[in-house]
Formats: sequence, structure tokens, C-alpha cells
Amino acid sequence: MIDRELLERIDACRAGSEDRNELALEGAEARAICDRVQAIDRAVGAAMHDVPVPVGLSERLLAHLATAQVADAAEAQTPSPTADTTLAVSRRRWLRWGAGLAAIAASVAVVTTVIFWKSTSLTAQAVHEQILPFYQQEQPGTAYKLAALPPGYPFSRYVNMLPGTTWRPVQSFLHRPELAGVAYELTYGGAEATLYVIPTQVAGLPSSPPQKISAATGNLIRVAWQEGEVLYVLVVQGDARAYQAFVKRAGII
Amino acid sequence: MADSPSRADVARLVADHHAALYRYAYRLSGSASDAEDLVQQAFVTAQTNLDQVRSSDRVRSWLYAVLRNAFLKSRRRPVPVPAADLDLALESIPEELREQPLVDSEELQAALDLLPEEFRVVVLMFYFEQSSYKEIAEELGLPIGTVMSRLSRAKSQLRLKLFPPEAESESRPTGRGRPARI
Repeated sequence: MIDRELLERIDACRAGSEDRNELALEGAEARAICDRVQAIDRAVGAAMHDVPVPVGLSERLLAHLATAQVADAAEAQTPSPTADTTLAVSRRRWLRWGAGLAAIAASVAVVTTVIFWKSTSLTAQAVHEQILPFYQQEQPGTAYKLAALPPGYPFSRYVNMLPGTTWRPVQSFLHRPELAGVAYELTYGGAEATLYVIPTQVAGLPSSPPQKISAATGNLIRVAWQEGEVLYVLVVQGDARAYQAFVKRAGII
Repeated sequence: MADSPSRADVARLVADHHAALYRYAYRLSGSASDAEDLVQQAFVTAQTNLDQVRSSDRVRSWLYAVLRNAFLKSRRRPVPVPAADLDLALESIPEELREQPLVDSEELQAALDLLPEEFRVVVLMFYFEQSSYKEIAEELGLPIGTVMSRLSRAKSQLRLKLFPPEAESESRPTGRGRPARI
């Protein structure tokens, strides 16, 4: 039979850790009890993580976080209220709304300015020249299954969304710290393609990818285009036929 | 799009940790909707303090702590439960385990839900975060003796619920290596 103090000490030991060495159990019975407690701990510990995660949770979180970021920016630019405690609640609410809307408008202006600045910092020629070296040197991080599209990084309407598509974050696109986005990884047969989605504007790019490619350089094809405020770059490992598997035909866009 | 780099950071943070955080939140709250709210709050805090998160070498622990605090704050002031009210069941330990015991996820949640919150938090830090009793005491600002007592009592209650004594469990399906008592 064990006493409460000993049970508390045994219960404080984490299964599979060094804790048990510090316990210095005396007697076969105490050691056997510790064995059984830790066997149960392992089972309970494993069951703790057996919780199904709701479908689409990460996408809902990202959408909420994007909204929260805009709200925070607006709040940060709201002028400090004066200490007039006699203002009616309804009036304060309207003032807050007005200040919030003004702050959002200011945020939009700042974002537009930055987009314009970015549009001048990267040219179509630079994209074409630098994408293959970047693609070949890039060390992709963890890729995630595509339960839903990451908000803010829309899939191109010109590219086929294939089963098994994954996505991963991309930072310092073309080695420019100010450019970040995501890359969708696609496979079809033996061919692979990477679709970079970067929220920025590059002047001089077409608004859609070419329907056909005449030849691949070193079994790699790269095309870039601009859809609204998003730059798309598609790199295909394969020949012209592989390219056509990833790009939608004109009639079905 | 001035904030694109941080958006990518946040996207990576969510992708890497949302599942573990949701499981932790669900075990704490016992409710899917509350768990989602808690995870959301934790990530909003993380987004606001992204520099702090980036510099942390234990990002997940940081997120767990934020979520745990959000959970504790979301509860109305809990009525303190005297340790004596939750029995330390010395007979809760099975005499022998003939096979590897298994625990059903839903039964575990039902047992967790019966624990007072201050006991549940301690037991989750032990099992989920793999924290030592000293780390739990430091994190929660409690005396070590209080943590050891709460942990042992909470674990005893879990064992009694998940591995009830033979007389109560006779009608239940076996196969968990459910053993005799000492």
C-alpha cells in the first residue's frame, strides 16, 4: 500500500522523462505502481491529442486575422478622444465610426501608395530573368494540404486546380524582402508545376498566360502574368505538353 | 500590401500550430465553438505581438500560454475548490496491466469536464504541454505543493472514470486491459 505523499510524487513524474530518476523509488511495489501509473499516463497522453480538427479552421482563422489586422490599423490611427464625459453615448459611437472610416480610408491610401512603389521596383524583364534561378535555389518549406484557398492569395483562373494541390508560404520572392505570398504545388502525371501568387503589380506583363509554349529551356518553362493586383508566375518542370496540362484552354476559362 | 511579409508569417504560424492549439482548446473548454473562439483569440494576440512570437524559441508553448490565459479570463470568477473536495483516490491505480491500456477520446473529455477548471488546467499542462510540476507552478504562480496535490487528485479522478473498479465496469466492454484494484 502506498501513501498519499508517495502517490503525489509518482503522479508528478512525466512518462518517458528523466523525472523518474529523481524519484528514487524504494521497493518493488512502489516501482510497479509507478510503472502502471505511467502506462496509463501514456494512454491518456495519446488520447489527449485524439481530437478531430474542424474542416476549414485554418482558412477561417486567416480570414479573421486579416480582418483584425485592418481593424487594428484603423484603431491605431484613431485620434485620442478628449476627456469630455458629458458626450452622449450615441454621439461617441458615431464619432468612433467616423474616425474608423477615415482611418480605413487612410490605410487604403497607404496600401495603394505602397503597391505603386512596388510596381516600380520590379519589372517584367526582371521577373523573367530571375524566376528560374530563384526557383532552382529556393528551399521550399512545409507544404500544406489544400482544404481551402489561403485568403488573400487567389488561385489563378487560368490554371487548372488539380487534385492533390498543396500550398506553402513564400518569403522574399525573387530575393526581395518586401515581396511575400504563397506557392501552389501541382502535379499531373510525371510533370510538376509551381504557381507563385504574389500580391504586387508588375508593369508590362500580359493579363493571362500564353495558351501554348513552343519549347522548354532545360525542361523548365516559366510564364508570368498579372491579374488585377496579383502577380502570377508559373514554373513547369516538363515539356510543352506538360505545360498545357496545367494551363486551362481558352474555351473553358 | 505593405504587410505582406507579416501575412506570410501569420499564415505559416496558423498552418503550423492551429491543429495543436485547437485540440488543446477543446480539451480545456469541452466545446468545439468555444475552442475555435479561443484559438482565434490566441492567434489575434500572436499577430499583434509577432515580433515577440518570432523571437521565441518555443513558439507553441508561447501560444499555449496565451490560449490558456484567454480560457481562464473567459470564465467567470471560478469558485475555488478546496483540494479536499476532490479525493485523492489511492485505490485508483490498477493492480496490473496485462496489455497496453487504451483510452477513448470522448470518455476522456467527459472525465475532464467533471474536473474543476483549476485542476483541469494543471492536468492539461502536464499531459498536453509535457510541463513538469515545477514549470506548472512557475507558470501559474502557485506553490509547488499545491500543484502536486492538484495534479495527483486530478489524475486519480481521471483514472477512476476511465478505469472504473471491476464491479462498475463488469457490464462494459472489455479490451482495455482494465485491471483489478489494489
